[in-house]
Amino acid sequence: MKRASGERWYARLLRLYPREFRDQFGHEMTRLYRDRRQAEPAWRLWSSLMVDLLTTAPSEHVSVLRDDLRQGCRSWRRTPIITLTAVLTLALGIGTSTAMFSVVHGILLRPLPYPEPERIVELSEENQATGAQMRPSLLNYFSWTERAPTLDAIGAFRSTAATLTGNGDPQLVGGSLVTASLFRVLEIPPLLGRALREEDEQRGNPRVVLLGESLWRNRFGGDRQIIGRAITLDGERHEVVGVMPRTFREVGRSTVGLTGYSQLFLPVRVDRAQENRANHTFRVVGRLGRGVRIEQARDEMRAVAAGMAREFPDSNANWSARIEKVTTTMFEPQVRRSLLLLLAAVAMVFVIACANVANLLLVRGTRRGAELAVRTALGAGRSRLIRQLLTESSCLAVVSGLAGVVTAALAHPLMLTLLPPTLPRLDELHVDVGFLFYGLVLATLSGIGFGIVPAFSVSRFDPARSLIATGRTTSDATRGRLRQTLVVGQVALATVLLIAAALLVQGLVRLQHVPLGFDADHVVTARISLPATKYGEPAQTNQFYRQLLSALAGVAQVDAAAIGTSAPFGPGVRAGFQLAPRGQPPATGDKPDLSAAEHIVSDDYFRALGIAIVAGRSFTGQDVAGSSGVAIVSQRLARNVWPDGSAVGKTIERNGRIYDVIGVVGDVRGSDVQGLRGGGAEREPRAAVYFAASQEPQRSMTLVVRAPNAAIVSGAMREAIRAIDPALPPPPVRPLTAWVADSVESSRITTVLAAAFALCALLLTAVGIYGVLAYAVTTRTREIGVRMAVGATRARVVALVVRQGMLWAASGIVIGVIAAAAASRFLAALLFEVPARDPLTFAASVVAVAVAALLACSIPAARAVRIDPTIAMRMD
Amino acid sequence: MPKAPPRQPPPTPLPAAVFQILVALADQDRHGYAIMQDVAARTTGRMKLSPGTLYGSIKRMLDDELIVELDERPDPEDDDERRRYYRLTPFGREVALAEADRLTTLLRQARAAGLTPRRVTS
Repeated sequence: MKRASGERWYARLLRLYPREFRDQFGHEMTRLYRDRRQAEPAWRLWSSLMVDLLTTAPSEHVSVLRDDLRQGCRSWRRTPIITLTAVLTLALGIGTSTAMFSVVHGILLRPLPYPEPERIVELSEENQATGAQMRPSLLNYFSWTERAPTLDAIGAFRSTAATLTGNGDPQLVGGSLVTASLFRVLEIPPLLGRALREEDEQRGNPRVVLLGESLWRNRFGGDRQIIGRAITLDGERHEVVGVMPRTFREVGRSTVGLTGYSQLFLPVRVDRAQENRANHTFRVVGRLGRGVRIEQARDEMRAVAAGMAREFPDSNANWSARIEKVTTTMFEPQVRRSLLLLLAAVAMVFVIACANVANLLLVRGTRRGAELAVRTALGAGRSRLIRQLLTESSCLAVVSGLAGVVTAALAHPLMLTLLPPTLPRLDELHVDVGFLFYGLVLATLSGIGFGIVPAFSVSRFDPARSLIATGRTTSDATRGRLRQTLVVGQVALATVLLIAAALLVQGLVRLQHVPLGFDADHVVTARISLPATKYGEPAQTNQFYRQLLSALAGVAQVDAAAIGTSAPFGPGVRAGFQLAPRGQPPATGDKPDLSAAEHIVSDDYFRALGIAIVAGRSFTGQDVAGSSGVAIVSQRLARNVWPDGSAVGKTIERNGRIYDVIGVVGDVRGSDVQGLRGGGAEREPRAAVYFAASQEPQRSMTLVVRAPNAAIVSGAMREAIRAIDPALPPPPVRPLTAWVADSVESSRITTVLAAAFALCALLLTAVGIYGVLAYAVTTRTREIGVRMAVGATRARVVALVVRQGMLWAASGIVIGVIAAAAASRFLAALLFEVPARDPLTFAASVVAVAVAALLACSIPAARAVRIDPTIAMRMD
Repeated sequence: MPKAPPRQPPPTPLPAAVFQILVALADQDRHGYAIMQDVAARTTGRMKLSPGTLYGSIKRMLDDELIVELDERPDPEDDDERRRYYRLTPFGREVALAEADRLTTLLRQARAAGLTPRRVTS
């Protein structure tokens, strides 16, 4: 019978209902439509039908979903061991991935806490010949501010420390010297009071200070009346004009000093006439003008720097300006790579875990063949079965996801203690709603990932055969192939991870044994800052340190005590400067690299640190303020500048003063001016020049003392300082080995985590091989029984089973080795002195995977041997 | 599809649509449209079951075994197309009686409290 068009439309609209509902009642409902159509006007009928459709169709879907969920939960409860195994595996996978992803997101991806952070850039100076980078000098910074119109604002800062007295014990407080313009770059308003102004930088105006939030809360109890009050810093009265929130801090790299984040901000008060362009101690950041691309700013800064090179050839020749987004400069490249590597590793472990669960579900699906056959026979369509199976796996995924989020939240504090404390933005990481989001996204992905393959494969089977036979069917074979593919994939991923981890371990071992150029054992360090008010004259500073060093040298167990602007890998000021050798014929060919790290050290510095004196002599008591300037150079610098002869006896020029080179010392790692605390141990030693502290006294120095243990130094130092100047706070002491350990901490943690993930992957893969092989043995029990009955030896049966497992393993290993070789370029940057395709490491990792696979095969093989042919042959 | 353990009495009070369908099927077997008409007639048009509500309720009542679908047509004179007829099960009758009892008690209590309806529709 031909249907009227209204009825056809209604039949089409009925598709909004779930399929089963439609199958059951669709015909009746169209019939009902026809009946009503005869009795009611069309408009009334259709308006009531539309309301009905829109309200009842969704509720029918919900009702089906509820049935599926109930059904799913019941079916999971029937196989508690499989369910528990799957939930635990997934929860661990989701938990570790969530924790790792939240770290990567918090550190690398989350925008910096400034308005329009993408506009903030860092400026540095770059040697055009060698590519070496240096912090800008303050005078160059001033020139840039006058000449760079593409930047809305440029600010400079460097870390400092000051002794806070009054209102409790004297306290050494870490802070920053900042320009007023920095507040316009970062655009963070003060919590209380006002930001710095240009007039605060004028010498002669009253001294002002901004407190950091933590100092304000901890030392001043969060007193809101603090504005306008005076505090004493280094013996000088400073008026508190504002309090800055925690988010205001030195941007970019090396945010953590000995005393932690900056707790106070002092205006830079400089006498430009006293400054020198070769004095590179400040860091400079700028805010790009709205709509200005970084390339434009780069071009402009290059032109500005070229102009300055012509104007100030002595200091600026060969030097250009470098400009980078602060999001790029704030991480050492290794940090970014390490985090991404760990994220990739954790993702691989997650995929392997999902593959195991998928295998479990495939096995479970096979065992449910009869149940599904009954349901198909009762009229459930394929799509209905797929939906049911997907709902079941989603159920599992959501439960595992929630368990994973809880795991991640619990693992979070542990993760924070594991990560290197020098990692930027570490303190910004906390458990938040993002955790739940990642967890549920991963759960959904995994639910679809491990659910869809078994769902489609299980639903594509022949119900009749499943009902009458428990033997193998074609769909069984398909599922078997799927399981094998999953196992091969797992082995491949585990191989990649193991190779990467093994390479990292080798790199770390070499890094930990690289000659550092000094002997860190039994050396203790402390950072001392003398207040300018009391120690304004160089002679006063000299006298303090002379008294301190002689007091310490008098302690029985102290072998040597010295001071320096920094200790290798330890705290201190690291300046770079551009060397001007004198009496040298102009170098032919390549220009020599004349940039050098500058150290100012006392007589016993080299002895205290065990740095070898290669030629000439160290500083002595005769090298005093009035005598001719002396300098000691490192071997690298001597080689760079005077490749053909001895450096001793030559002269160099710095800041217009002439120095005689009196000695050459061994190269020392950990003095890189670019890197955090002298850079990692993987960095080549920097060319360095050492000047005599007695000739150039510095108020802030690092004390290095060679003594059997730290307690002796700590006590002796406290006593000595109290005797010389009771107002000085005794600084904390730390063994130099701890600073050295910090420098490889990042590599160590990356390696340890990568190794842990690789072992996890290997274990999960072994479990995967075992599971699939064990199931294969179960399904082949009869065949094995027949073989044994016709005379197959135990060895042959073992070989049969093991061969199957090892064939999968071998395929996976081959794929894994190829993938690892392809990924080696990425890994190379993280490896220290290990080739990324080191054949020995590859071979060792392959053997490890093969052994794990063999162990996994051995259990099913042992079970196969125990099969009793008489029983096996009676099986269906 | 395997069913949940049967004979769980449905939650009381019954949804109005379910009770009306039980009442409609109490004296004779009916198909969907007949149920709809019967309900409309008994409530003088105040309750009109929409197709979605009607068949959604029927589905759940079949699942709960309150009603069954008949294999044969009770009226061979019926029209050319086959309609589905539903019949009350003994369990469905029990449930309907229990619900009617509950409503009667409720009405008695309301009357005792002086809440007598002005006009009772039959």
